[in-house]
Amino acid sequence: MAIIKRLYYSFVLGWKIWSEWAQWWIFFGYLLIRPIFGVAIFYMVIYFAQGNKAMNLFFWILAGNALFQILSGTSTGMVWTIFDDRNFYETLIPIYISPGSFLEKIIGRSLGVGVTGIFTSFFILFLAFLLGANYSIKPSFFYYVLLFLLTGIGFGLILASFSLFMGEGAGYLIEGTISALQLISGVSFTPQLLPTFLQKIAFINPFLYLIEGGRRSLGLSSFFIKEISSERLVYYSLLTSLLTITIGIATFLISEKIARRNGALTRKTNY
Amino acid sequence: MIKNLILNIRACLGRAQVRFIGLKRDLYWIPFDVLLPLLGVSTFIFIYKSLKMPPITYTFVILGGSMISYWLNILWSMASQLYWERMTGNLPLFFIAPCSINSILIGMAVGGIYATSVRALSIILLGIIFFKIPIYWQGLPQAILAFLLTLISLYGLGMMLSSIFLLSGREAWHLSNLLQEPIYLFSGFFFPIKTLGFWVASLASLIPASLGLDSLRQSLIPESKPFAFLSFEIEITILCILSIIYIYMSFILVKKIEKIARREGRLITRWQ
Repeated sequence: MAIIKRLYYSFVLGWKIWSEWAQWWIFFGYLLIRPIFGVAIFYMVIYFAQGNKAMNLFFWILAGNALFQILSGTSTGMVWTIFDDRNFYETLIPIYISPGSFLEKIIGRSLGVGVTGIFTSFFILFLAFLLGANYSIKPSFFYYVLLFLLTGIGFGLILASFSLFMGEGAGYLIEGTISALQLISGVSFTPQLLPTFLQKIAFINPFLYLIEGGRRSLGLSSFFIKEISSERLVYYSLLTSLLTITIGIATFLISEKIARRNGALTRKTNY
Repeated sequence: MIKNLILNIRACLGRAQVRFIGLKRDLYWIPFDVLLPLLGVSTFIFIYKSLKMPPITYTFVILGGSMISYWLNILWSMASQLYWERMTGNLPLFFIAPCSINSILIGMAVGGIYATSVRALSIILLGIIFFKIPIYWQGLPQAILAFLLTLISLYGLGMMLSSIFLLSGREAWHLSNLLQEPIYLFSGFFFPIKTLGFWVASLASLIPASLGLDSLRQSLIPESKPFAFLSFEIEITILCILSIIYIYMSFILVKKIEKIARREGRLITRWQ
C-alpha cells in the first residue's frame, strides 16, 4: 500500500514539475502545439518531394513516431528528473532521503512524464486520422502502448543510471541515445536504407520489432521484416519490455550505490 | 566615454569567456557534440533517400541542421538564459554591475556563437563525409556574408526574446519548447520555404533563419535556384534590415523590461 502511495505522489510530483505547475488545460494546450507542427514538418517534407503521392509513407512515418514518442518521452523524462532535481531545483537530496526507495520515486516521476508522451502519441494518431489515415486499431494496440510505457521506464532507468554521474553531459546522453535509437528502429524509414554495418545493428535491435509490432496493431502493412508473424512479434515485444525493465532496475540500483559512495548525488554544474 | 566603452567590452568578453571555458572544460564531450547533431537530422536525409530524391535535398537538410544548432542555442542559452540566471541567483549581480546589461547579452551571444559553431560546422563536415552532399565552394564568399548577417539578426532576436523571457515565470521552459517545431517548420530547416506558399513564406521571413537558410542554399547549391523564395540580393537586403531592427529593438526592450522587473521585484524572485 505504501509503495502505491509513494508511486502516486511521485507521479503527481512528476506531472507538476514537468508541467511547471501550469494549469492542466494550459499545459495540454502546450502539448498540442509540438505534435501539430511536428506532423506538419513531415507532411511538408513528403509534399516537397512527392506532392500528395506518398501519403501512405507519410502515415507510416506518423505511426512510428507516435509510438516512439511514448518510449522517448518516458525515458528522457527520467534523465531530466535527475538532472533538474540536482542542478536546478536542488531537491535531489531531500527526495533521496525521504521515506521509500529512490527507485520507486524515480519510476513514479517518470510515469508523470510518460502520461504526456501517451497523450502526444494519441494526438499524433488523431491528427493522422484527420488527414485521412486508414489505421484500423486492433485490441493489441493498447497492449503495445503499455509495452512502450514499460520499455520507456526500463530504458529511462538505464539512461538515468549514467546521468547520475554526469553534469551537462546528460543532455548529450538523451539526444544521442534517442536519436541513435530512432535511426536504427525503423521509426521514420526502413532500416534497409542504412549503411550495411548499421543495418546489422538495426536488425538485432529489439526496439525495431517493438515498433513494427506497434505499427501492425494499427493495421499497417510491413515495409520490412515481413517473415515474422504478428503473433510472434507480440511475444518478442513482451520479452523486450521485460528484459529492458529488468536491466534498467539492476543498472539503476548498482549506479545509485556507486553515486552515493562517490558523492555524485550532489554534483552541480552550470555555465 | 572610452573608459565606458572599454568597461563594456570587458564585460562582454567576460560573459563570453564563461562559455569559451565551458566548451574547453568538457573536452570529452566534443566528440558527442560533433556526432550527435548529425544523427537527429539524418532521419530527414533517409526520408528523402526513401523517396529517391536527388542529393541536393540532403544538402538542404544538412544546412538546415546546422542552422538548427544556432536556433536551439538562441532559445535555450540566450532567450531563457536570463530566466535561468535569475533562478541560480546571478541575475541581480548582472544588473548591479557598472556595465550595460546589453554588453552582457552580447557576450552571451558571442560565447554562444563560438560554442555552437563547433556543432554547426561539424554537421556540415560530417554531411560531406558521410552523405557526400554536393556543395558549390565558389559560392562560399556569398554564403559567409549571408551566414554572418543571419547570425547577427538571429542573435538580435535572441536578445529581444531574453528580455521577454525575463518577465515570464516557470513557463519560460514551455515557451522555449513552443518555439522549436513551429520555427523548424516556418524556417524551412528540412525543405525550401517556397513550398509553404508565398504568403506563409513572406510571414516566415520575419524569422531571420528562413531567409538566411534560403540564401545559404542559393549560394552553396546552384541547382536550388528554382526552389529559392526570393533572389539572393533581396534576401541579403532584408536580412540587413532585420539585423538593425532586432538589435535596436532588443536594446529598447531590455531597458523597458528592466524597469518593470525592478519595480515588480522580478529580478530577485526565484521559483515562480
